[in-house]
Amino acid sequence: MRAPDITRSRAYDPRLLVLLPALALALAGCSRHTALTVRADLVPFMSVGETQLNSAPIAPGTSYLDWPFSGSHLTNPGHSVDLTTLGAPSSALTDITAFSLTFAAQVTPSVPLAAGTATLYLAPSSASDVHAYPAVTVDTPPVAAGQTATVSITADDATDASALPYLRSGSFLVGAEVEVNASGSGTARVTLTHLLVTVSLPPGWGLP
Amino acid sequence: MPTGATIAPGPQARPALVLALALALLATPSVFAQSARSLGMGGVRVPAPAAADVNPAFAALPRTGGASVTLPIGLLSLATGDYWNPNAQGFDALSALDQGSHLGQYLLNPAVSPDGVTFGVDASGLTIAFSGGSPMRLAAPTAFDAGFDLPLGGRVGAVTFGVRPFTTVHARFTPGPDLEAVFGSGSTSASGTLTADAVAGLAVDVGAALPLPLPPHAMGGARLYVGARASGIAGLARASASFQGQARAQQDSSGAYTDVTYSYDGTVSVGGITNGGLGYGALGAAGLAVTVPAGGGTVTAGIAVRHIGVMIWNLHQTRYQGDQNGGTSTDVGTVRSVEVAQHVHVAGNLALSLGEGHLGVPGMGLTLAADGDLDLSGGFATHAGAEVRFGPTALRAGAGYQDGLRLGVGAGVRAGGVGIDAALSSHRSPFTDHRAYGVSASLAFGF
Repeated sequence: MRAPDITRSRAYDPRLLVLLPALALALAGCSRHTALTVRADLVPFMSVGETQLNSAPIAPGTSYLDWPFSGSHLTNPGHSVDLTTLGAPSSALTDITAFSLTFAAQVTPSVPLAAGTATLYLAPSSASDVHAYPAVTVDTPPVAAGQTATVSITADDATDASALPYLRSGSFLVGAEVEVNASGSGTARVTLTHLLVTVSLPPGWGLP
Repeated sequence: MPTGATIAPGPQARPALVLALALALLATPSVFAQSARSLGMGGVRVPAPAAADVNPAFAALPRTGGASVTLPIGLLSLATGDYWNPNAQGFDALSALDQGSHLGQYLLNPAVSPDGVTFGVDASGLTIAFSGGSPMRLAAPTAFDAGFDLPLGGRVGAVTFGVRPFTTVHARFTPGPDLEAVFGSGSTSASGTLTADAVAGLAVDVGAALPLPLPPHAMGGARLYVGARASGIAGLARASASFQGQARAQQDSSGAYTDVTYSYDGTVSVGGITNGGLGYGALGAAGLAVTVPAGGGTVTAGIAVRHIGVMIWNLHQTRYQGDQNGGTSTDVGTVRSVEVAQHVHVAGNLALSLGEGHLGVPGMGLTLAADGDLDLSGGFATHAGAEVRFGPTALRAGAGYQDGLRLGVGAGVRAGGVGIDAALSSHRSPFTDHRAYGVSASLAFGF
């Protein structure tokens, strides 16, 4: 198994960027018909080790490329996401009406890969059993050796409403797994390009 | 009612209190600076005694038009617009702010808050986008100014006197170029400056205005007027704040965010009569006016400077500083501020008035007017308008620039010593590029 390649720890708090626009938002949020959407791509806030896996081993038959790159197949606890650090007002989180979460990665294998599947997992932050995650799965295309394929998968409240309570709690876990089938042994380079989280708050979010 | 019962103002008494306040406002001239006549002429102030607040020399001009009372019909929105009620589904702070700062007008389409706000954070930085509602104007310097005064007084000979409770609110927000980008393509940093100042006080005004003797037939019959006004100011309460802040996201060569740094520095100063923070000072104004017969009518011009003086405040100040590592507040204590000549205005007014019989149309009269007002601390306003009179009726139109384009049309009628003026005028709503239209009305007496 591959150890996490966390090269450095990053402290971030995008809310700090909104200190000054808060004036405008306070004005807009003080009306009962104003809704709020918070959309954040988490990738720029991650370390290299969290976004790149340069040498995932591929064996003949079925292999799994899991993200976060920190453990074996289906034992990964997932990457923790805290909505309050993304600008979502904590007092209104329970009012979240809709969400969307997109995982996108590029996979470049050294050996040809047949068509496979990609699965996105969402879980409450207290989850300990990965198999209990509500999951969304899509098919992935075949990839020639040395070529790059983009794997993109989206879960939202329409396809996976059971995850809505996780987002309303303010923090949750997210993980993804790409199942590949190879005819020989090799490696794959995996780069996470987007982890886009979008939550919507109903009109009046700024008012008690 | 049991003997000894006390009567305390309850909910049922509030309508009476509101009515009493409304009547008090109605009974007092010039509660709201601009009359419907002025708004109907694009906001221009026609040289006349009623415009002595702009130029004290105007108090000595021949009295025309009589006194005017602008009706606070914006208060009707309390009954018709649920945007005032925080508990109502239609509550809208932006609408309330727009209407509340224009109580002399009933706004037909006050600014509306956006239906949606979208925060976006990605590798390019932060973006904020609004959808629906009035177009927000936050990527440019923006200001909010409002003020009310209640002049109570009169004139004896050349001397004018009075007392004037007043309140003023000035707020300025100046975004840095990076913050402007937040509302466009995105930015990894943001900076800006916010200042706000609210004052309530009482002014005692004493002035004099009189015509200067000129040789007979000098300048074709011109007459020159001078005026000056001194105001003793008692500042009853004040709250002011000034803040500068900036935030920046640090990125490495791969574009990943490594850290966010920010800092802010500002002061909050408060004081009032209840805690020894009384302000005091004196402001002065002086002006000249001239009338020249022309073409069977009269050209009136004036120039004045006002708000010259000094205000001294004793305010309790707290300084707030901080950065990403934490913040501090420092009790600075009582700070005496001596503010000399803040918001000095230089104003010029010009008007041509032609009476009936001078336009070739029986019963027709005409007034053309223009003005300009320069705030030496920043800001300029100018207006131009026309009034055509047919016997007891008048039609008006005008345009101006005052924090954006202003338009106005109006009409008036006079009969039996009283009259009524109405106007439809527009202004740019605060914090937006929205053009709001409002209806105003004034009563005129003693013309």
